[in-house]
Amino acid sequence: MKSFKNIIYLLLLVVLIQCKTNNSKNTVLSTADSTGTDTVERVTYLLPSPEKMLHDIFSNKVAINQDLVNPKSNAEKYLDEKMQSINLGVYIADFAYLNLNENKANALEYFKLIRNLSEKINIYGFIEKSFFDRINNNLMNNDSLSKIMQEMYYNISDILENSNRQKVYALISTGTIIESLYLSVMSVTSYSDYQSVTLEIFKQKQIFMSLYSFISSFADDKDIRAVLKQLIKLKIILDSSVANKSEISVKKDKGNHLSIHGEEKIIINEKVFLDFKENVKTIRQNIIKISNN
Amino acid sequence: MKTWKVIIALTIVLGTSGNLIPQECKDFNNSRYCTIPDIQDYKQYGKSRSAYVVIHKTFKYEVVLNDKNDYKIGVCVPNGYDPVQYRIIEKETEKVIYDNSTDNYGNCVGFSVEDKPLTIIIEITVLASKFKPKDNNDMRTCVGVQILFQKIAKTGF
Repeated sequence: MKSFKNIIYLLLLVVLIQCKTNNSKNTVLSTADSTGTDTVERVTYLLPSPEKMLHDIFSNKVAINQDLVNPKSNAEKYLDEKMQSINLGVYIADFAYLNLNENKANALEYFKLIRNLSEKINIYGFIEKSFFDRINNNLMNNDSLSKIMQEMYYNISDILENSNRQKVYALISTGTIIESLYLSVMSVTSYSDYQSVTLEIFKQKQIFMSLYSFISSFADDKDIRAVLKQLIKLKIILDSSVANKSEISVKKDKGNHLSIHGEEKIIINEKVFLDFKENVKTIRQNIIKISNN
Repeated sequence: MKTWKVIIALTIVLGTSGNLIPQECKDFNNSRYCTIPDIQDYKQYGKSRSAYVVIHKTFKYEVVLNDKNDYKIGVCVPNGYDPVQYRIIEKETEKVIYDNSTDNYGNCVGFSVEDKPLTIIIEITVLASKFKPKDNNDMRTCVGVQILFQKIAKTGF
């Protein structure tokens, strides 16, 4: 009987909290504009999956170095939600990177880590068993594998956004993008031999800026503030690498089709690249290290 | 112990249910309302989205589009909730690249991003001009957003 009362009290509490949350959301997010429609200030950021980002950078042939990924043994040592979320992102990027390799045995081990960390931050149910089976059955088929991986990543982000856990998604995104940049810069062993790859890396600038805007919207959170503090140096380097930017021009060419032109010249030299690489390495070292817990 | 398990489960379910989108909206972007013509060689760009939104309220997506790609963006709503207005805006300059209200509220547009990557804001408002709501709860509907891409084919020899 006492237990039943407990349940009733708890239900009432949840309902009250929900009503309060909904009211405050409406107040903050809605402001009527002059056209009679309402505007919602919140923006949803559609960040690319690490698989897509790595694919763009590594479209030029670059050797895959399996030693670069975050060691599997670290996974169980991340104890708080911040480290678990960031490193879930790191392992998702590692999984995508390992899948660029012909031998995918190691990749499957990383998928298991993704499942374990997802369980720890309560999103395990959304990495369905079917994903595991599909990945297992498509290990030799790169196209299908990349589709499944993207689907899995977007599934995670959807569910976190729709359950008001955007902060967790922000941390996961930070992990995926930093790890993708780390794996990319570390693959450039000689600047002069890999200039086209470095250019592709710097062309990810707008994705990085979008990530920065996204996580800045949670800047009232101390974990996010700590992440932003680390990312600011990369933002400055990427910002200063762009020269000769022109305004875009839009031309309607045929039917309902537009052609968008504009110029954005990225200036990189060895010094700028090495500075960027060092900063990426430092940030990555900070986000995977165990002592942060 | 068992009671506490029930309490925890109920708290999780009820604590999040107010924020989840309804089942019928979950895969709306892949429904028959959201078909885009001539997309044989196109692939999904990032995540296609379905959202559960309030009519007349504007919501925004930010997305980075790589250069040297053709894109198609489609925005759809269920029958009876037409028209839906969407604008594609370059984030940096706030320049409006496309506004479907100047195009008879067509539900998709194709474009090529030629020389430089572009960060855009897709700003969507369900206008539902002929829709008569029964009550306040009737002011929400599903919206699907699809972004597709293909590499621009190289020209010349």
